[in-house]
Amino acid sequence: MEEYRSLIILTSIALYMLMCIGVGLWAMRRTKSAHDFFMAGRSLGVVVTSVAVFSSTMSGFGFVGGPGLVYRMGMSSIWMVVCTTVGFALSFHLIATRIRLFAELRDSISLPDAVGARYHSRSVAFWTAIAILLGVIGYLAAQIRAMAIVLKDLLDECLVAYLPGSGLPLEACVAVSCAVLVFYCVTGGIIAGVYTDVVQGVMMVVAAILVCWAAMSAVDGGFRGISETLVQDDPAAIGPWGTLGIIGSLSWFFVFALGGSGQPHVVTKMMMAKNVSDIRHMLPLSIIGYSFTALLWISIGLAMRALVLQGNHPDLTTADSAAPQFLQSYTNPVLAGLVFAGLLAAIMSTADSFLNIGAAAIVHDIPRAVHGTSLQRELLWARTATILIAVFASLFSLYAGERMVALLGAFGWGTFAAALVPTVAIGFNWKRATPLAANVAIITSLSVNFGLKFFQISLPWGFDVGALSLLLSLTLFVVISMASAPPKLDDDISAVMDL
Amino acid sequence: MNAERLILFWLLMMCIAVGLSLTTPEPVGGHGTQHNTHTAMFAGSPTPPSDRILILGWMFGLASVGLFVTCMTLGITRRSERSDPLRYVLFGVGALLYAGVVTMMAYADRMAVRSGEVAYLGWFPAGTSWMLFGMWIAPLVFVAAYVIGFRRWILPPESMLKFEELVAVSRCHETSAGETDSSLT
Repeated sequence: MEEYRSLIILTSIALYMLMCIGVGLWAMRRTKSAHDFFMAGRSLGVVVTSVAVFSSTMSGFGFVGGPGLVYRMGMSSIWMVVCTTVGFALSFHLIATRIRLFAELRDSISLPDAVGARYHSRSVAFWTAIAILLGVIGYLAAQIRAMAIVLKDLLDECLVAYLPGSGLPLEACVAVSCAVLVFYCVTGGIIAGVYTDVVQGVMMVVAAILVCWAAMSAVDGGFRGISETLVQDDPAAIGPWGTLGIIGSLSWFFVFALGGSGQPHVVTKMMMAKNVSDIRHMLPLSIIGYSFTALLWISIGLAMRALVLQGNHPDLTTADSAAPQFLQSYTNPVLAGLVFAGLLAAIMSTADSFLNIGAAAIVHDIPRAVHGTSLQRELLWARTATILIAVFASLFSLYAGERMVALLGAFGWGTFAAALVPTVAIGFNWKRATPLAANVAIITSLSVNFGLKFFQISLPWGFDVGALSLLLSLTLFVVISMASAPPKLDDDISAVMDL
Repeated sequence: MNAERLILFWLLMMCIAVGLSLTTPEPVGGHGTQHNTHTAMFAGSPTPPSDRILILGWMFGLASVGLFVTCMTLGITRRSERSDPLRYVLFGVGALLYAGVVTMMAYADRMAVRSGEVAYLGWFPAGTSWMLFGMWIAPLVFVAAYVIGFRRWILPPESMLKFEELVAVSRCHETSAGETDSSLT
């Protein structure tokens, strides 16, 4: 079976992509309006919404970057996943019910729609849409680049086996992976997105459990053996703060736990539940799903670090190759095929959500914020915008340079967190929150995040830029709101906030 | 003290802890150095963290937990006219448990750094086990509070009825506005 490894992996990926195309065609028949395209007609059941929520949260970063960070820094990056339980609990307590009620009351089809209604302010809706659009382009470009690199590595390996000396350009891999993504997003909108998310989520969970088992088997003594190897080399790496130290690690804990409440691609999914009362079952389901997928993040990184330290695996040149090398060396070809398909699933499940909210920002939110009305023939324009965003993000990922893509990719989570946690998570639960405070919070988050990252200013003790930006925007939001006169709310909005 | 003021209190505590940390001089390699033999790996700081940084980190961790719990209570503050003792018990127990885990984790790590010996708790060093299992599991109390309390204090049936009335009124307004528009054209 080993000699067919590359072929098995490519076949798994091809089957997965065919499944995505099939779901796109099926969803096309159910997408009849912009409301269906962006909100899935607010008709999703408990399991579908729960899986969509956790699979959108776990992006390709979790499957490639996460194990790489654990390999490089030990336990530090695990702070991004141990906050899962409290992060989801915060999102559901603060937002899930409230945003769903707002969406139904005002028939909102996007997050900026609901924000505009809450604050009775077009400027807040505008800045929310701008923050989303900037984050979407960066995040999407990073996801597309990751997807193309994985595909290129696999295709090149297969081609070398059968046609020595040949290889594919990165542009071709971007085109192939984007074509599938765009096809199901354009035809089926968010309906295709969430139903592919279900398959993708299940694949991610199964893959993560099997990989965790493989990682424990790869090192003598399992996790205890891994711990002892890491302690002998450097106790800090397997200590609770990893090599980054206490301040940096806790800054990640803060921004990843609270920041989950500000991720528009996740919050938007909460607006799509069919019944408000279903939401209570979604919280435990989302946590269970995400926690299982996080096993891959933790186990591969720790196992590879131990294997390299023991001299049982050659030294890695880049930390990000920890996951691909582990899968190629320590798993059987069928599992590797499943996990590589799971990796593409993780990337695509996040990318399709970004394409959808990006299209909503362009054809619905920004025109409404500027002119007071959205575009005519919104569904047609939504499909056109989806294609344009994908093409732009693809070109950006290919030609903007790795630094710019990494910059905007990293910009994503922290910016969404700092811009939208005050405005949405706190503002939707606190009547005193004012439009001025919301605008200041969003603009501060964009300036601080982009400014510090652009000028490559790193903070002492490894304190995360996104965490600083979130702390500043939240503090300003609360202080400005308290210092301002209470805002006048629409009667229905005020009544919903009193429920 | 209401939830909003408490949120401001925790944010100010965090600002103080972060401000003091960022102005504390950091030794070379204070947040990790290149590993001696493996190019893609980092190793921990060659200088153990000072007590000041450990205490500031612990303060930041506790204030984060305080902020998270207060934010969760903000999400349910006005949702029920009924006062349900279970709500206070669950949030109180959850907050204490979570703060206790943060403290135990910081304490176990400090002991390991000071003594130079690693004590294991299960598969991992004690501090790491507190982090991996405690930080992941302790907030399940808040998850239980959400699931158990959904119909009791998050969205009780009477609130749902009020909401349905609001939606009906809103749809009526939309319909009548639409009719007015069409009569104008």
